[in-house]
Amino acid sequence: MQPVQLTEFPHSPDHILHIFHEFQDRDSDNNFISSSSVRRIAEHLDLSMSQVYGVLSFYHMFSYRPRGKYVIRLCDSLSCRIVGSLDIYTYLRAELGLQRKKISDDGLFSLEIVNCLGSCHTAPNMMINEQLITNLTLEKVKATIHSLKEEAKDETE
Amino acid sequence: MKQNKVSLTHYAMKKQDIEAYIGLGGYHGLKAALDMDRSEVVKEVQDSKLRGRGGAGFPTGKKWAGVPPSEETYVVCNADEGEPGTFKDRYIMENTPFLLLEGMTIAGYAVGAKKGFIYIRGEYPTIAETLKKALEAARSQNMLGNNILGSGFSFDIEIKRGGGSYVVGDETALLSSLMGKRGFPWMKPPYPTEKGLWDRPTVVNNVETLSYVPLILAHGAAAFSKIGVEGSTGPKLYSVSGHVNSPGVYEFPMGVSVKDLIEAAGGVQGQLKAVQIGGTAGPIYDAESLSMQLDYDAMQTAGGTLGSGAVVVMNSKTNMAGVLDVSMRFFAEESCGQCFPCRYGTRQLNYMAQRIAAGTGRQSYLQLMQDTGEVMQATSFCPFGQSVSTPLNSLLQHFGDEVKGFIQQQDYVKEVI
Repeated sequence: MQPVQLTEFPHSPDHILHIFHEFQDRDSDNNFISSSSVRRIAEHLDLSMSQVYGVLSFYHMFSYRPRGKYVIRLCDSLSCRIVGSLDIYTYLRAELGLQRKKISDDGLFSLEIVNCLGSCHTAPNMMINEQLITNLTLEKVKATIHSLKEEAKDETE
Repeated sequence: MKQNKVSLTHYAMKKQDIEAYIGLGGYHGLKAALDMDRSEVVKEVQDSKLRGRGGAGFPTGKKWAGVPPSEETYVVCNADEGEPGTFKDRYIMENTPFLLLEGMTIAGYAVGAKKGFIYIRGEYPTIAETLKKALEAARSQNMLGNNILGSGFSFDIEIKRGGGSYVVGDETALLSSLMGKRGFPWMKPPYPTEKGLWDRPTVVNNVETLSYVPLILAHGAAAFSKIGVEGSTGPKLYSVSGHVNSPGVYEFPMGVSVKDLIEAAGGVQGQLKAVQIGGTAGPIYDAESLSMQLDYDAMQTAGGTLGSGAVVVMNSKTNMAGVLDVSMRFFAEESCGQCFPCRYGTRQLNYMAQRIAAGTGRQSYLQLMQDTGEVMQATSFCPFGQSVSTPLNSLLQHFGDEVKGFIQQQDYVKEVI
């Protein structure tokens, strides 16, 4: 994984969301922005750390606490709910031993509920990190989780 | 060349290729605009009576005409499509991104801007990539960049990704976010057209609005305005989801009936029970709504709003207490927290709705929820908090007995808590 070089970005606060995305995706295995990253970002943009935290904590996609290697964002808006998103939520919580916004024991997964991924014609939907997975069924979710576990196993070997 | 069709879906392509887009008649609008005077372009859009497709329905030409001359003016495309049940902007950006770029360039020419931003929601990373490729292609054909098509007009576009926030879909909140702040809406006036990004005049338009602009310039305002109904002209993209056989995006002239739209989407799976129109902040209607007409004025008369054109269809198996629960959770999670009535009210509503859906609600909740909604409508800072009462009251009006059933089944719980 390539660490993020802040010199890639201009010293202007309007790039802050872009910087957050890059740090979260590239600088950590745990999909979060650490306090040392916040310090570096603050220095680069000439903001205080609390200003950076202020922006960071406003947006749902960012986290200043470590999360799983795979962040599951399950949509539970109306269009997904009425075609079974709640069953998938219940299944995932049981299967991964997850409470909301907590990490699974193996450190691989965290589960979040989100409001609409803008793909209601393929409901129910979820995103795993940056990838959208549509037309969910329990079988499909099961297979996806299984293949991610295998993928993680291969990486560590 | 199929050129005389005022239709956005006409330009939809599976694979994005600028030459193929030009082959379909693309960039005729831009060429026509560059041959005109700026004020004539604004007038053309005014004459088309195009209204903003993001939800508010403000006349686009009027917005553009309100931009004062300035050294630095910006065009911002609102691609922060977060309204539950809405996926039309995704459809446009995935299937015909050049149409959007062309529309933005025309907007830039009309209001005297050199720079545009597309603020795309963080949940659409692959679409952001599609747009970036489209930008490169447009630059390579001199449809963007310096001295576009030899006209002397220069304009370029930058993509900005959001971080996940519903409220940022509001134009002033979007500008806050674009400048790298928390996505708080601000008080209008001053409107962004006077004082927007970095205090410069800024035009904020929705993806769909901008994507219809090239068609107006290519075919003329009259060809556009004769489609649709009085007060709501042109075609419109409707997002149909839920219990229908073929959910998807459908283009119809403004004023299409709910019945025709659902039929186009393959009809209801099972028996129709309820329809929510315009997104989560829109009313929830019963089966009587089939005859309703989907345009700005007709929807307003019916006590609702066309909103983004989202139609969520629910069949007889739908649990309405669950629908209440989902709606109220949405408001609680997405409230930006800037003003007290919304921050606190949405949490209380969420709490009560959750209890009702779980079978542990109290009899008093129904009235209390409606009162809370009323206070929020009167006192919230922005349309987000003001609109909570719309889905709440309409749901209780049409399905109040069902929701009450959830409370009465578990009456004994009241004694315990």
